[in-house]
Formats: sequence, C-alpha cells, structure tokens
Amino acid sequence: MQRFLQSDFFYAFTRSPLAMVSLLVVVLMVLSAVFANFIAPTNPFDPASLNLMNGFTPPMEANMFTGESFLLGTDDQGRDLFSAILFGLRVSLFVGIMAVGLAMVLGVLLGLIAGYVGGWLDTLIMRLADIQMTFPSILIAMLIFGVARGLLPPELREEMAITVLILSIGLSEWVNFARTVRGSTMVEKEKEYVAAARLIGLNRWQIMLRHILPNVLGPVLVIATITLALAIIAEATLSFLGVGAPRTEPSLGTLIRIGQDFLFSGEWWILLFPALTLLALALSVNLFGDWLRDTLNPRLR
Amino acid sequence: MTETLLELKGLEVTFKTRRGVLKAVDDLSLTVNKGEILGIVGESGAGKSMTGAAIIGLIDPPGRVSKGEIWFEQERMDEHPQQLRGKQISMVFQDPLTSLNPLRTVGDQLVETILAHMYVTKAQARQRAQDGLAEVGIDPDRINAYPHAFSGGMRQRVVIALALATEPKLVIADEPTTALDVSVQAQVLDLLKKLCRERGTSVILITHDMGVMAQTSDRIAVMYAGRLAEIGDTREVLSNPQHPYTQGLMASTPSVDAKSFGSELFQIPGAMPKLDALPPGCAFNPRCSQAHERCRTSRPPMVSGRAACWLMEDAS
Amino acid sequence: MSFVVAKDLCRTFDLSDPWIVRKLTMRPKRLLQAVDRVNFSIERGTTYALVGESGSGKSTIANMVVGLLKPSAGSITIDGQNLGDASMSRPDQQRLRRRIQMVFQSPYASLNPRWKVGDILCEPMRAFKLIEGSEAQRRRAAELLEQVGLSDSDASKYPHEFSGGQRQRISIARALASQPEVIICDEPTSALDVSVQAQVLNLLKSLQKEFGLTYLFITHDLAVVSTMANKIGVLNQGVLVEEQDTEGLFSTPREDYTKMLISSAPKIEFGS
Repeated sequence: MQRFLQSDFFYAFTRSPLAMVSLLVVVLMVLSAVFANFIAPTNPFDPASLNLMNGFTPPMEANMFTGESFLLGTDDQGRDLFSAILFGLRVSLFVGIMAVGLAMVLGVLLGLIAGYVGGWLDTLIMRLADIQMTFPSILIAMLIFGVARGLLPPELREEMAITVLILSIGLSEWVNFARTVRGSTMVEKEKEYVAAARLIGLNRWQIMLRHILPNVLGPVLVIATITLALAIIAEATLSFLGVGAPRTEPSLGTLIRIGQDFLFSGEWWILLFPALTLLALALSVNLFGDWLRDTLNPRLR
Repeated sequence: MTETLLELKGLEVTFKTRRGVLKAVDDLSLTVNKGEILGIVGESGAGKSMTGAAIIGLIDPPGRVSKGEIWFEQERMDEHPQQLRGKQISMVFQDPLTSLNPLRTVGDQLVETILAHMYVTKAQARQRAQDGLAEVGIDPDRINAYPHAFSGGMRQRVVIALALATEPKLVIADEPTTALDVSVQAQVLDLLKKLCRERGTSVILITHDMGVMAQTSDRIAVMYAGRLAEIGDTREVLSNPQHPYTQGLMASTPSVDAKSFGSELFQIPGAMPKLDALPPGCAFNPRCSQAHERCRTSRPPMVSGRAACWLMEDAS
Repeated sequence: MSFVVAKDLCRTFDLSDPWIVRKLTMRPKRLLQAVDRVNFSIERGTTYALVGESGSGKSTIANMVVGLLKPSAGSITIDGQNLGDASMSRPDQQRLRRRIQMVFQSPYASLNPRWKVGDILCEPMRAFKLIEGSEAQRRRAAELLEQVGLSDSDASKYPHEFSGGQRQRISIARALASQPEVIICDEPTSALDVSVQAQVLNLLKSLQKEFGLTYLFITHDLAVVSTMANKIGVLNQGVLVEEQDTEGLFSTPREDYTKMLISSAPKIEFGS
C-alpha cells in the first residue's frame, strides 16, 4: 500500500481531475448498485408494494390520485423509477463485469498459449480471432444468445437469461485480450528471465502462468476497463432489442426499452433517466480506461 | 596558436521530476578548439550524451538548459533555434539503423540534407553526395541503395558522410562505434579522424570506452555524475591522471594481453550515485580511497584547469 | 576425459519463408549454418572463452551447451553424460540441468521484474528440490546474496531497485542457487560500465576459486578474455578458427583473423 501511494501511477492519478472524477462516478455507481436494497425507497419488483394508481407520476410532483411524489417519477405500473434504475444498474454492472471477466480469462489464456507455444496452435487461435473480428460483436452476441435460447427448455429461459447474456457478451469480446496478450507474450518469451526459468526445468505452464502472465497483465487491465464500457453498452443494446434481461429483472437497457414506448405520449422521464444513467456509467468507465491506457503506455510518457 | 571554436560556460541541464529537479549536467565549462578531437568519457548517466544534446539543442522537455552559456565562434548560441545550429554542427548517433530513414535511398537522404543547408542546385547536390560516399569508402554507384542493403559498419560510414555533407564546423559523435564489431570499429574511427583532420572539422567524441578515447582524441574530458572530473591532453590524462576517478577507470580497464591473467583487476567499489541521491561535497567521495573531511563537505573546484579534486589543490 | 566436451557441434537455422509462400514464389529453402563442426573441451575448474564478433555463432553455442537449443548434429557431454540423450528420464534430466547454469548478458531482461529478489533466488532451490522449507530457503538466499556482495535485506526488493552491476550479481547468485558445476557466462559484462565490469569479473573469479566452478565464457571483448580465460577459442562465422591457451594466443596468434582481432582492439597507449 505504501508502495502504491508513492508510485508514479498514483501521482499521475492525483494530478488528473478527469481520472479522479470518472473513477469517483464509477465507484459511486458500483456502490449504489451493490447497496440498492438499502438505498432504494421501494422494492420495484415486489408486486405487492406497487400501486397502479401511482402510474405515470412525473418527477418531483405529487401524484394526482394518491398524493405521493417520487424523485424521478414512476413508470406505467407505478414503479418508482429511482429504485428501478438502482436495481437496473445492478443487473447491468453484474452482467458487464462477469462478461468482461469471462472474456478476460478466455482471451488471456488463449493469447498466452498462442504467443508462447506458437506454431499451428497460434495460427488456429489467431485465425479464429480474425474471423470473429469480421463480425460486429453485437451480432456474435445475438447469435450466441439465439443458439443458447434454442437449446434451453422454455421453462429455464427466464431463469437463465442473465447467464446466457453474460456468456454471449463474454464470448464476443475475448479477441482484443487474446491479441494484446499474444503480442506481449511473444516479446516477453524472448527475454532472458524466461530462458533462466527453462534452465531450471520448469514446464510451459509454469513459465506461462508464473513468469510471463504477471508481465503481460498491465495492458490487460486497460483493455478490461475499456471492454467493460463496451460490455455494458452491448448488454443495454441486447436488452433494448428485447433479447437480453427479462422484464422481471430489468437492466438499464430494459428500462430504456420500456421507456421509449412512452416517449411520444409525453412521459419523457421514463426514458430519460435510465438513459442518462447508462450514459454516465459508460462514459466514465471509458474515460477512466482511456486515462489508464495513456498513463500506463510507456511510449507516451 | 589554437583558436577556440566552442566554449561552454557553466552549462547546466536540469530535469524536472516529481522528486525534485535533477541536474544531468552540472556547471560544466570546457572549450573545443578548431580542428581538434575532444573526447568526453564517462559511465552511463554521467551526463556526456546530455552535454552533446545540449550543444546541438536537442534536449526535450522535461529537460532543459537551465543555466550557462554556449559560445560558438565568439557568438552566443544557446538562444539560437535548433535549425540554425544544424548548419554548423552535425551529429553521429550510436545506432546507424535508427539515424537513417529505412524507406528512402541513402542518396535521397544525402541530397536532401545538402539542399537544406547549402545553396547548390540539385545536380550539384547529387555530385556532392557521390563525392561524400566515395570519401567514406563507399562505391558512389551505390547512391540509390537503401540503408538495409548496407552492413552495420557501412551504414555508419553513410551516417558519417551525411554528417560531413554540409561541411559543418563541429561534429558530435555520440558512441558512434558502440554497436559495431571491434574490427569495424577501428576502421570507422580512423575514417572519422582522417576526414575531420583533412577538413579541419572539430569533433566531440562521446564514449564510455577508454581505449577508443586513447586512440582517437586529442584531449579528454572525464565526466562523473554530471560534473567534469578531469580534462586535459589525452597523453597527459592517460599517463598521469590526477583525479582518483580517472585513475580508477584506467586501472579497472583490462588490457589486451595475457599479462593480467590470474591477477585481480583493480576495482572501484560501489557504483555511480543516482542523480537524485548525490552525496554532499565531491560526487566521487564515497567511492574514493583518498577522500578526507573536506571532500565530504564541499565541492572541489577545477584546479589549474585540470581536475576537480581537493587532493590536487592540497598538493599545489 | 575433460569435464565439458563439445564434439562436431553443428547448428543450422531455417530462415525460409513459410511453406506456402515458398511454393508460390518458387524460392528454395534458406538455411543458415550458424555453427559448423565446432570441437572444444573444458577441464574441470578452468575457464574456456569463446571469442567472436556478432554472427560468429558464439551465443548459439552457449545456448546449446545449456540445453536451450538442440544441436543439429554433434554432441555435448558433461562429466561423461550426453546432454542430448533422449532416453534420459526426467529426474535424470533435472539432475543434469542443475549442474549447468547460465549468467546472461542483459542485466535488465534476465530478472523477472515482477518477482522479489528473494523469490528469484529460491525458485531454483525449489525446482531442483535442493532445500526444503521456506525458512531454510530464505536463509540460503541471504547467504547467496552475501556471497555475491549484496546484503540479506536485498531479498525483499524488486530488481528495478538495483543498478546494472548489482543486478548482474543477483543473476550470478541465481545461477549459484542451483549449486552448479558449470556456468556459462554469455557476455556478462558487456552491458556494464568499466568500473563495474571489474567488480563483476573479480567476483566471478573469486567464486570460481571458492567453488571450483568451470566457466564457459562467451564474449566479443578480448580484453575481458585476457583476464578471465585459461584457454581461448576464436570463432569466425560459425567455425572455430584457432584455439590456444591465453598466453599463446596473445603472444603468438597463428591465424590472420585472430591477429586482426587483437590489433583492432582499442588499447590505452599513448603513441597514436
């Protein structure tokens, strides 16, 4: 910890208002998603607590029937939007982080193997990556999502929707990790500390995981952050298109889809607030990722 | 009568970092006479390359020349932009691969440099380029070849031709032979020396190799931790080094014969201090076997224009 | 029989384009003969130096002697055991590996920047099962650090906290951790400054005396060789052109190539 506080990295962080603000926004959002149960005034998914009479209450105004008022208004079913956004944020972040985790583990492993072992295995993995790169990742995700739903029995579809979502986004985003890790692995494996490890008879896996992996993780961190923004948007897009999170467990994307039905009838807040939240989240994750990339890139220093 | 070409007066190059301001070159004063080869020798981080870069104006932020004056032919030059200095001074770098553009023929690069600095027609420039190549021992017909078609030693010859093409008054050669094999190194050094002698061009030769220095330069400047430790005629400095650091450097350089086998090499204990952890007084005092109280408290001045060492003052 | 024997050592590198490109462009394979029938032998406890310029094949030979590269032809035997013996069991291989270690050229790339020095030194002990128990390993690491002139508190630091010369000492300590009998030194001082080079060379010499080590010294620098080696082999483009004991080589070099190398090495003398 002492080492971290004295590092150039931390120093650069304290000198960049952009990085501090974007990280602050991300941290606040993550915290409010994690503690949604405690922060949210109502539980938006408890049908018993919903009052249809509260439907379409504009933000900060008293409802004309019940006299209740809501910070960000309510949707058609009288659900408090603020609470719905907190819970939606939780779903969006959960899916995003898990998907990035999956993509990262997969990509890093494949990249390490391709870079270190080389030969036909390298060709196979990298051609696979090339092919996948020719399709937009959202298309890949939809494809995987469709196939998975086709394979699942109907009664499990709702239940497994989130898992399938994670899988489909995770599998569509591994390529960047693999490419970067392969590149740095090929540089690292020529270094003499790897030769020294070979001299004492370590096997490939030991060398890859214990020696090379810690040295290629720097750029992975950057890609993970930028991919997180992509994954959150991908999740929102899928949910918006109706192939993502179900209505019973709405993510930000689902809320936006619900909201756009009411945009032209004047209930603008149902769309606007979830959309703003998504924007703020994706933007600050992205800005922080960009800052990380610029700071950790030795060539720009 | 020797004429002074370049004079550095109290040159200081500093780098601003978050841990404070580091002096890469600290109060350096020296002169380069017309037609002479001055060698600057020192270990990595001693500030020798930084000195060269400061003279030609190639120091990038966060570094800057923060103090001192650079006089070139009786004119202040440190305020001149880099382009202006480029007409009078040219540079030979360590790695010939990076100092030549791999995508253009050597002829194009020579012609371009000549046209940029001299009032000649394109045809004349081309003729000059061919003459230049011939002078460094490269077949002038290879003027249309690309840099990768040459070996490392040949490439460094091209770089020398490039450096001399504009008839500069001063050539700064920064470790020009470090990347080359020994057999090629000798040829390149001889060539550089011969051409500069013929034209009366002065050379600042920057190197870490005492042997290269001994065989090439007229005078030697020894730098340590950004400061000038000793300066003088090559023969005098090598035969009778005054500064304990120079003495140590000489003694720890193994010689090419079988005499030294089996015996221990002389070694200077420790390593050069980092610039952010310089000791008070003489920068060399923690490694010096003859250091006394004064060396640890106050920085020694240059004594009789030769060495910055209290021992020398005590002796006189 | 000598301790290390290289017999008719050859190594070719395949520099050809991929098969499909070669077929399309109708170009033949391009092979580079990096090492061509090289023979030498090293007596136990002595230093043998291979001297050559870039492209002479000296590093290729070093890599073959430690087993990082396989010879295309020929053999290397260490204490009578053939290094390329395919029938050797894995424990036997490990036993042989332990006896041969290497000190590398670059003080920067040869230590894993993410590992603490202590961990770097303990790894060979674990891999060869030399010392069991982390407490005993720590003690041994501290002892090694002191042997190479560092202090035991350095074990908890990272490589970037050390200077080039100190890192080379750590690299030597790591080689010693395996308790080897042969150490291949691949240009161990060419990245170091002169005053530090002398320290490292002296250290290598005193360790040789203390542990009876056998050195194969790879270098381009004749001056370094003259202080270190008992016997010198001169390599030129993969061929061993001359071999003599140190005194003989410098006083009566036989081959023109050797003479050229000696005469072009920069010397500190005052009559130029």
